[in-house]
Amino acid sequence: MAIVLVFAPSFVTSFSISSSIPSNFLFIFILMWYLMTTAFILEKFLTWFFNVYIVTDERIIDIDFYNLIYKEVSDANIDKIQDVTYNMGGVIRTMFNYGNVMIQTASEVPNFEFLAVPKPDKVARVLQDVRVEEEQEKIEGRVR
Amino acid sequence: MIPIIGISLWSILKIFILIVLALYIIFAVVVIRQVQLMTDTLEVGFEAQLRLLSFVHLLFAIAVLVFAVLIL
Repeated sequence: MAIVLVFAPSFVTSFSISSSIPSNFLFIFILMWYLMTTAFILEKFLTWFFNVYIVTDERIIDIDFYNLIYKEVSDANIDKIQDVTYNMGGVIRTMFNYGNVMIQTASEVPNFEFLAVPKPDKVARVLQDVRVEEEQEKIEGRVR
Repeated sequence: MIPIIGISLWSILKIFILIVLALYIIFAVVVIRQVQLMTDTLEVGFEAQLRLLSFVHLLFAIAVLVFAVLIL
């Protein structure tokens, strides 16, 4: 999409419609087009880049960067996790081994959703391991 | 161009373009602020480059606005 946007002006200027526009306006139009393209790429990149899921041995943190002006950060302790489900559907997801991991917590906080993460089976396994470890710690009375 | 009470269509378009570019600068400032906030929350390794990128983006937007004021 971004590649199409970058190369679009060179196609459009080759049509005769551009000859009826004064050259200074045409130049500014092209500059504005590139500004919009930059905005599009930047917004997509930042949304992807700042969408982060963190799993530690004590808690999970879910940073959802929906768009530039709306984000949601939630965290939950490992012992609040009730169950973990992961799904992987479709040809592309199977080929590139990524999918969604859904985590249900005991609290009223909405469920954690790790969307389109690579190796969801490994994520689920790690979550299971840390939960077992947390339970073990509780039984043994270790406080960390 | 057809003059409408002394104002041509191009001058209306010029004002419109300047408004759009001014709005774009607000967007660029929001990007800078958001990148600042997020790089404070999250340490990933190339915060400096990301901040630089957002700053260059703002400068570019301002440059286009100034340029549009000058040549239109």
